[in-house]
Amino acid sequence: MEASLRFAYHSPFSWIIVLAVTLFAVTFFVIKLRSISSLRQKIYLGLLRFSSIAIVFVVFLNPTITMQEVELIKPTVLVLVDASSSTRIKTDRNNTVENMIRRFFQKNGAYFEELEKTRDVRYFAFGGNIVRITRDQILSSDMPELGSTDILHATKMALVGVDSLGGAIIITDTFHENLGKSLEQIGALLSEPILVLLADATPAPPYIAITKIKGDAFLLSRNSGEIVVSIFALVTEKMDITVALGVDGKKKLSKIVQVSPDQKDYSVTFPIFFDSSGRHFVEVRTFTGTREFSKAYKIVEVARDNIRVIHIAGAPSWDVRFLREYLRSRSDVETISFYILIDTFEDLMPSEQETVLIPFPVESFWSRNLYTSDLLVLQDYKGELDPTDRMMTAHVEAFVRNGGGLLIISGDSAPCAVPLLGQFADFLPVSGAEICDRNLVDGEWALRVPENEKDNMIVSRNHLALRLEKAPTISSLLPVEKVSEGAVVLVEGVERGKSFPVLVVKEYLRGRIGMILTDTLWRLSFNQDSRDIYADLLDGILGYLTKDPRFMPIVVKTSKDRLEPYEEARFRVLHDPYVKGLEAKIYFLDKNGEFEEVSRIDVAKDEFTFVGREHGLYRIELEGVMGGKKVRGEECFVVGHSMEEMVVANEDLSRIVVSLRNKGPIVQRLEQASLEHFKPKKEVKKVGGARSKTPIGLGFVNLLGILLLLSLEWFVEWKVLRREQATKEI
Amino acid sequence: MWVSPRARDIPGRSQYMRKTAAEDTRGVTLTRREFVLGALATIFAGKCVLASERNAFKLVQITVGGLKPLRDDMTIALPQEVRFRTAVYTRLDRLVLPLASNEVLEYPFLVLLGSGSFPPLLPIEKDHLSAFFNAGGFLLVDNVGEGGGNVVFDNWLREELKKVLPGLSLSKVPKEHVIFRTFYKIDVPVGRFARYPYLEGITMGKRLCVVYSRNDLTGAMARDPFGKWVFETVPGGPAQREKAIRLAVNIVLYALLLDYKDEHTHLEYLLKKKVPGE
Repeated sequence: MEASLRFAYHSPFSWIIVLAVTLFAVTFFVIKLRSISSLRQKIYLGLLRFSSIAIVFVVFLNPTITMQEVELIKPTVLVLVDASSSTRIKTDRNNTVENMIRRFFQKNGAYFEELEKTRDVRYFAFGGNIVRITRDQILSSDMPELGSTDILHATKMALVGVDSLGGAIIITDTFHENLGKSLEQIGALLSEPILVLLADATPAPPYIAITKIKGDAFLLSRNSGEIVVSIFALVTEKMDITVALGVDGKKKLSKIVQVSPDQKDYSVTFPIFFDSSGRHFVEVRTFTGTREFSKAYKIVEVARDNIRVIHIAGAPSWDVRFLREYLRSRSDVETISFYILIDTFEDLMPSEQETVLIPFPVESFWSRNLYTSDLLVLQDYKGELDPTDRMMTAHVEAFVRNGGGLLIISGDSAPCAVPLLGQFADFLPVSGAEICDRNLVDGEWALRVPENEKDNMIVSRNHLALRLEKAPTISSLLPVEKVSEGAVVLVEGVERGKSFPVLVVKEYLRGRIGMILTDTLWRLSFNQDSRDIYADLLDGILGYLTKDPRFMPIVVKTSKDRLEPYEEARFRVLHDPYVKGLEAKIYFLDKNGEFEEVSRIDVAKDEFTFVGREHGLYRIELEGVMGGKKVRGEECFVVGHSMEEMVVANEDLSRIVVSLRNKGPIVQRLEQASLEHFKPKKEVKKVGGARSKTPIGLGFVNLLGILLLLSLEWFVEWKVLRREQATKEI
Repeated sequence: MWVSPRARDIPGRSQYMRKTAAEDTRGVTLTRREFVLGALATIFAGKCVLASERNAFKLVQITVGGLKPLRDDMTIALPQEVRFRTAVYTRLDRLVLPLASNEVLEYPFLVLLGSGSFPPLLPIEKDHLSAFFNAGGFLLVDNVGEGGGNVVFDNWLREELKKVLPGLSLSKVPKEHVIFRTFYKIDVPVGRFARYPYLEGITMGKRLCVVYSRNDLTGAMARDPFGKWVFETVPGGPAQREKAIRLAVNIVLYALLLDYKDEHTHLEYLLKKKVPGE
């Protein structure tokens, strides 16, 4: 507790009055004292009078006694230790910066012990973020493996919750160009003593690092693009290294690059083709035959190009015509059509000069062009029976398997609609056996969405299910009794209580297939009142088959593609309102190239968080239930350092230390560090707790007391004077 | 040549295969009676048909103002020729419907044969035509008149179409229009006659919704019950008949394919645009 006396303010005028009165009182008393002969009496009376004057004087000054609780606190000393990826690079003496830091703490153990007694020492490992650690963890090499170095950010984070900073020690190995700027900013931020210790992290050659992976400015799905990889190499002799590129876990390309001592930076370009839009992960590795140097991941955003539809029709018909018109009405759809216009009857073949028929590029189409499209529509197309069609079926299956969409629409030839595709197990939504022996049946079929599919995204938009019930009937149907396993009937035709599937969809590996089992759906379009129903239905089918994000029931969004280790990542989930029971599973890509489940999280309020500690690639799978069926969404992200982190300088450390002087902090080499120049602030008083003020001036009680004292003084004075007078009379 | 080596098993087709290109060869026609009987047989067999009735191309002739349909005693061999020459599946019979009937709105291809004086269209007929065009329908108007009859019908047609499609009128179809190359290459449109070396049409948006021939196009394809051509084609004879048939085939294929053939002028570019590995 601390006490102090304070006096109130008085104006100069009041001081003049007080002094004048005091002078007067003193003069009057001195005159009165003359009448007293005894010296002892004079002294006694003088003391009394002066005491009373002093009391009045003090009361006039109106002092206050203040009592305050005060705490003595230890200042905080921050010790920030670099734990980024670059601290684990092997240097010339087969050392690492991590080891150098550990030896430094071993050597200066006594200093830190003493410091911990008088200061609040907080140890942090830092990279792109910070983790609180202990000195024992540093000494036992039990430091967390963090990512990239960001000294300024780490310092700011470490300051959170620090009331009184005594100083900071920052140990790092980073020489990148922002270091000077960061130190300047730290110097401006903190006025307390700061010591920066730089470790020499020159790697031992050969050192090959991937420093950047960059995609084209605008990568489009089903378009050729480029990935450019930047390499940093420190070698003592020429050598050939392999740079290999993989996409989504599959090896794609590799190139040989010759590196030499007189060049550090290299660039390798890979042509790339993404068969679907969305986020893909790219993996780049550098290695020689015997040794892998580095590996890096990058998430690449591939934009959705115009939807490319290849429309093949076995014969022109109204169904073909109205579907073509719909496709052409969509500005985001690019349609390439091939319609069979003629049958071969040799004696009836017109000459080339008389017609405008063009040849169908069979081989190149099925083996190459097909893969540039998003959706293949086979309408009233039975397929060829010649050997080239074996190529067709194999490529169509591969196309769908790799993410393409296929729509089969029945027609005159439809009774065995593309029978060769039926050879692939679980491929068609309706098995070949079901349809091959059947023909289209005439009738008047009302369209209806099955009750359990009314929430399906394809048919639930814009109240489509309700509108379909009021749409014109279709007048033909392929009467299929049952659909394949995993297939979903989205629209059925009903006549006299009996229903058959009209629209059936199914997922096949990464692709999707739809079948329309009528050739008179066009009747909805040839009617002004139902044309929009036709368009909406086809919008839904097209969106589903081409994986339009608007038709994906679950989409996961991450705030960043790359996260620092130990950084809490937030993920947002966008989903169809009918999706329930969301659960996120997080997988980590292990050394064997397999995704291993590492976490499972129930998703509440469309958001969840995750902290990744291991460096590498993670994949999130979000699962939910919609309409009784499981639906999924996926995302991927990388945990680790930025690629620039692995660019290391190859310069004289002493020169760097000199260049960093005058930035604010004291800068030294770690191996030659002298802690005696580091003088953190001493303990400080912290004023806190209760505070009381007691005025001893003009309070009523005080005034009463003073009056009594004065009265007593006057009485004593009067008695003395009277006795003196009495003595004189005798 | 792009072909589909597929053999179709369609009733009557095998007989067609025996036909040569000569004009006076007896072809095969299915009369309406034969077709109906066949259809009934089909119905009793379980209503299973190889193709959908409604999706097949059907020749639907409309009549206006209660007038008797022209040439109802002849077969207009257009569906036969289309089926014979192309991969299009057609119904061989001709359906005649009054324009005032709601049923006309079920068929995207209508034919109007005219000659001489016609009464003004009834309001219901105009409404049906308007709805028909707006829904995407295609009307082939064939002026089968000669001399004064041709002119009178021509005047009536222009007048009535203006009422149904205000702001749009018949104009010549340019020679480079895709309708002249949807299947055959046509340099000059002809019919039974070759008086008017052009077609006229009305375009809605990007598609022709009305095509008008003044050369009696259907007359070049009219057969009697014995299968003989009813009219001579003047002045070109059999060669002109063949050209007329080709024009008619093109018109049908245009109605079904619209500007499909125009797309192929830049097909190669589209295919080359995005090829993996290049």
